[in-house]
Amino acid sequence: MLIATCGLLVVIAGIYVLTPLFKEPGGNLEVELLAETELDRLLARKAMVYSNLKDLEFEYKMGRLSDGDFRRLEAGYKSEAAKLLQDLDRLGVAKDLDETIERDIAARKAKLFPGTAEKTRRCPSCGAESPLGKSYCADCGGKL
Amino acid sequence: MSNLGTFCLLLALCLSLYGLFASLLGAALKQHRIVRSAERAAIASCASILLALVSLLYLLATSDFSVEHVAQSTSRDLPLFYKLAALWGAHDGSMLLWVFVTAVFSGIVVFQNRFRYRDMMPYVVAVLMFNLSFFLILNIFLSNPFDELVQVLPGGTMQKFSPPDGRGLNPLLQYWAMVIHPPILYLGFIGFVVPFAFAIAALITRQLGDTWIRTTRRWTLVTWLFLGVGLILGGKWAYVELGWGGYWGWDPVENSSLMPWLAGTAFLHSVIVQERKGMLKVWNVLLIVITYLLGIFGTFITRSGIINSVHAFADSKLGVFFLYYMLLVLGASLYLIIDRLPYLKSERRLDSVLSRESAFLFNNLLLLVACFAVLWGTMFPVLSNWVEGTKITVGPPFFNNVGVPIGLMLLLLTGVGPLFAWRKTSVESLKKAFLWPVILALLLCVVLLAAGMRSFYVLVSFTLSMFVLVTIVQEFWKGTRVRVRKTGENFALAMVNLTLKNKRRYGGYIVHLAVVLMFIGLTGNAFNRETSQAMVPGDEMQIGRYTLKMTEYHEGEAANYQYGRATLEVYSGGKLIRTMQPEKRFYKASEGQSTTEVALYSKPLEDLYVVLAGPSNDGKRYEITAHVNPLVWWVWFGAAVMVAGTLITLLPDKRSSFANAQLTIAEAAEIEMGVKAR
Repeated sequence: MLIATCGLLVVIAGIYVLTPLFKEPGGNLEVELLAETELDRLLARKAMVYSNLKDLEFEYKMGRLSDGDFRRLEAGYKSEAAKLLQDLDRLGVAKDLDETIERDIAARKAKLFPGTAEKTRRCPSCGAESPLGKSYCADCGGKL
Repeated sequence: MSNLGTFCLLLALCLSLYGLFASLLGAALKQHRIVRSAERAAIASCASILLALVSLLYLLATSDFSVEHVAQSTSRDLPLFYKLAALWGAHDGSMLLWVFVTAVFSGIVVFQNRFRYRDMMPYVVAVLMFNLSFFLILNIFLSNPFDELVQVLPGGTMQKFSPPDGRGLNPLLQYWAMVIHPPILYLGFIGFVVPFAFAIAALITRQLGDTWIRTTRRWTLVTWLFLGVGLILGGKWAYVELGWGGYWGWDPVENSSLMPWLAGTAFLHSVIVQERKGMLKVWNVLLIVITYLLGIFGTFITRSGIINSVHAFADSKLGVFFLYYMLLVLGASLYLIIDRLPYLKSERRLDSVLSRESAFLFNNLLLLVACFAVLWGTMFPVLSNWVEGTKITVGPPFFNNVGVPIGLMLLLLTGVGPLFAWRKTSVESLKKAFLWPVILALLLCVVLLAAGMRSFYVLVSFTLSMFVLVTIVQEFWKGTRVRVRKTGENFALAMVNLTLKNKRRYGGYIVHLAVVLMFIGLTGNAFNRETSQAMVPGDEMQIGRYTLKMTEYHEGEAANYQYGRATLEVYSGGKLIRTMQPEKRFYKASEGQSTTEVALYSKPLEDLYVVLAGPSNDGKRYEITAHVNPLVWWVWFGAAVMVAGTLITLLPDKRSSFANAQLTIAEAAEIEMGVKAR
């Protein structure tokens, strides 16, 4: 009885643990691909500087900071933020963040799972990519 | 059943070792499927340990005394609740609980991050499984709760043996706070393994931004909360159950859970500086390594028997393994930190001493100095034994002499730190922020002096408490006023929204408030009074403003103990205010071990604490000890406030692209306009 129970437990655990070795699609663990990108880092730092700025303004309104301190700190944060925005511009992000993110996701997907990448078609009028099977362009509304 | 339990533990060990090697192999080969398999092994090993735990609970519930653990820590007359709680009533079972909690935490981490941080996760899993394997090995081979009792027959043959009844659960442990105190403390000790694992993974993968900190912030906070609650419950237990009138005795085991709490507190503060300013990166990694190791060190002290303590868990077999494990972890972590130093460079330097950064830094230094002082005092018997050959124990005076000044400085920083501006604060700003707190604190100091208070530390403590209290009230008051002006909400609503809008900051302030309340309670210690008297019914004793009149002495019997109970009427100003019934219990199963059941009358101003010490030497009278402990109530109340404040900081945020920075998209856009307009 005991031996049967133990045997059963081993079999269940074995099947559960070893299945991924044979079943899961072989999407390689692309360390470089999924690592934090320069974009992630810049965006995180931008968010942090913005939140520092907001806190600073709030603390000033609370009457906790002298005018001098406020102006000095604000100027510091703003120049930091401006520099970050420049860097983001350099990456071509500032114009349309959503589009950049979409593109980034599509690229990662395509690299990770080459078989499953969505097929797209270029819009003849504006040049935007649309998934296959769509009749109209999501960007300009032109007929595909 | 006991064989099944051992088997489940062995299976769990195999699975966790497989998880350790498979995750490292998967990372090395960049094979996602191997990592997945390793993650499943972590979850399967958790399930297997759960089975082992259930089998031990079954053995306990059915009083199977052929198992040593069951025979040692339960008896037939014990209520079912305590039978189950006896799981952690002895060394080996509590180790199983430890292993179980570790496995559950590892399983949760794996599940939470099954789609995230794919690059770090193999190493996180490896660290978690390494940690789990170590404890499993100890649990299976050195301290197995499923070991069966054997009897050596004449002629040298061994035979299984099952005594008719067990030895019973240590009566001191038969108290509700004691039942939940160990599991809660364990959640606190063990939880630090998660941020530690992420820190190591971040070091290995060279991703030393604040990702690992943000990911583990909640883990750290929850762990820290559990450790704090565990400490408080332990204190409450000591207060109500040990009957010596206090709640903290600087016992080595108390100290060993205080140390990771202090280091964890330092860590919680210093990560803010990294998140906000990109500074203190090396420090933070080092701090979490220290915190994790102090947690392990805590178990080492509790279990190795290296130092005598009320927590008689001693089993010297284990000590040396803990020592090797700690040295190995420390060595490996330090090597990694030194090797990755170039990635841990600070993004800026400290501008001024009068800045919030430096306040955080001081706070960290003080917490670590406190931690080191506690470590030194705790280890002194061992160190003196090495050097001089005799164990010299350091008593509470040492800890109080060192702890009180450090504690007061920390209290001061609690008030000062949050009011400093980042980078540099001008004197003008300081005047604005500190005018009222300083005035009101000094006013209180003068009033106390005029009222005849002369104790230096008491004066400083109350003055600083007032100072910090006013700074916190002022923060809420001024913040709410700004919000009222901006949104037009009424004051109460604005204050609630202010808190919810910036949970980390205002939740943090509430925790600071709790610290003040607890300091008020701790300061009350300076005024404790105590008196003892041998009494018979009809006698009276006097303590403080109370007159205690003994009216009855009664002896009786409950399921698993006999008791003697004194009934005392308490008068204050000639009026009867309370009847109190301190008890002395003698437990049948535990070789007549006795406990004192304290009678407690607790008010915010003071506790009246009455103990029946037992019959006097001539057997005709009953020894009654009464304590008046001012302000103790505030310690427990402060603890409750601390839990509330921490829970507020843990409330989930609304998700937005600026979730980490707690900004809405609109606010971010507004700020961006401002930046671009320059």
